[in-house]
Amino acid sequence: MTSGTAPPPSLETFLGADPDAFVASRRRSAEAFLATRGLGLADVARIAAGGAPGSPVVLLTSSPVHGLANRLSDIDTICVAAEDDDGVAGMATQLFSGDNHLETIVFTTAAVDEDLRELGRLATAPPAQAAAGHGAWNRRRRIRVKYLERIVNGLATDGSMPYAEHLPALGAVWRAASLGRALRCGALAVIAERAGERRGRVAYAANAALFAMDAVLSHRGDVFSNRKWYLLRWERLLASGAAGDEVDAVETLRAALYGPIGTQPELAGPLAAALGTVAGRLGAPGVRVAVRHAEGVRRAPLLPGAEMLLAPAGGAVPTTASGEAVAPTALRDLAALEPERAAVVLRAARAGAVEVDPWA
Amino acid sequence: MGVTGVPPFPRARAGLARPAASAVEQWTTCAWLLAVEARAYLEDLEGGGEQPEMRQVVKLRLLELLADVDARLAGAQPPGEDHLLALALELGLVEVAALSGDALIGAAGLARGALDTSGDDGGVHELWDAILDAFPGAVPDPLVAEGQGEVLRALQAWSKLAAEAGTDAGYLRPFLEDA
Repeated sequence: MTSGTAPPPSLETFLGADPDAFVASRRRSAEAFLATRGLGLADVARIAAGGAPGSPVVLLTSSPVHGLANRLSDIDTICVAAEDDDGVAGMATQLFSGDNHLETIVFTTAAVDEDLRELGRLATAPPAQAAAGHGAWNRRRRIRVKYLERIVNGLATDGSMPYAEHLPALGAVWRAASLGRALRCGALAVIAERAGERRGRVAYAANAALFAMDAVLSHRGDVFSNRKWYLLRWERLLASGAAGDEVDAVETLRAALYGPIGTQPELAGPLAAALGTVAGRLGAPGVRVAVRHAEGVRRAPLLPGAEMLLAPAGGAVPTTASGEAVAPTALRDLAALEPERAAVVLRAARAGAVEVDPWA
Repeated sequence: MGVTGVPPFPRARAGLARPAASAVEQWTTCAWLLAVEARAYLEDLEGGGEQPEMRQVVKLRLLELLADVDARLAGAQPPGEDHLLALALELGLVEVAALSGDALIGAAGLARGALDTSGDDGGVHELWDAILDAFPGAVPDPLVAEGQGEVLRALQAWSKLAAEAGTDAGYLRPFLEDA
């Protein structure tokens, strides 16, 4: 599967709106939220900058700029400073002013620019690589991925969004990451269903739906990291009148999940159809998944008819058959696994002996 | 235990011991997960009165956390994040409390459906209160001002505890970064 190497769209195309209007609307959301705490953007600038070297750019971030904040939401800020002579970068601190407290973290301009360049490179990679880069980001880069997303989405205290031009790249990478997760959960749902887990399959399928929502949202200009917001942001997208095959596909999957957990008829068909459409519309057609042994997994006999699978992370679990790996298969065809084999695959996946590869 | 009537931490209460090094790591890690992550979810539920869609997903995440804690207390390695909800709904809990998947679904207000936002959160609060009450000792609350001190004192105690049990306290390092 190779596609998705086209460069990200322009900011206006990505947002589906005039960028200035978008920024102004974010400013309004932020100011409305801050007003409930008796604060304005200038106050945030003053309080946050008190914890940072020099004259940093102070960004208000997270739920307040997305118009999602509630009465208990934190005031999260990020300071981007020219230098960091005191070595405070990367450590979150709490600052207090009167009744209000806000959290801030400092990064240098150099570090931010370097990570944004890497983001730009990942955004033009095929979805499998973009998703892998996102997954490995925190191990390899200085600025944690959740902070990178907050920086790009952040509203500066002067009312501008200094990093908005990177939103399309952010969207491309976050789309790939969530699509990969949706496909993995979808595959596990199909396998769990074949293995007879009537409630377990619904759990995987619900997460597949949630990640599919975030993939579509990321594709359509709304990029925000935390899974707890996915369903609310999706409802907001629907309320805005968004339409398209991928939107319908997610809604069809949601409908298949209605009702008490476990009572649903076959989910494999709806999952394969919905995720196939979403993947196709988001630049990853021809979805196939594989189940591969984790590097370093070993096996040794336990008793006649059973072996111990020794997973690389040090855990072990008994297994009653081989065949826990599965060659690249379309989601729909994964539903043809024999129940006993599906149970073997599922057990091995949970034990860390095999991994689901959604980009096979 | 409120709506479910089962006592939390049955095996620990009954006195079943585990090798010291792993038991220390398991109990302190679980205390940390409850203190930091579970409390954050409970706060999300409290603040999200007008955001039922957010609260719905938070309930799912809380079940994932409980499945993770349950696996650790059972002496198992918790599976990857992808699997935790499936384990919670299919297997229920064993170590945290003897609750079948269906009982857990009922307690968490998910009886109408996994993504159905019309269920209420009362059962979740009862479940949480019962777990918190039954946990051995006072789980710190980093979300309140005094909580920062409680958290640091806990980490210091755990460092000594690890030494006492003959285990490397290195596993505490990520907690220090989060604190």
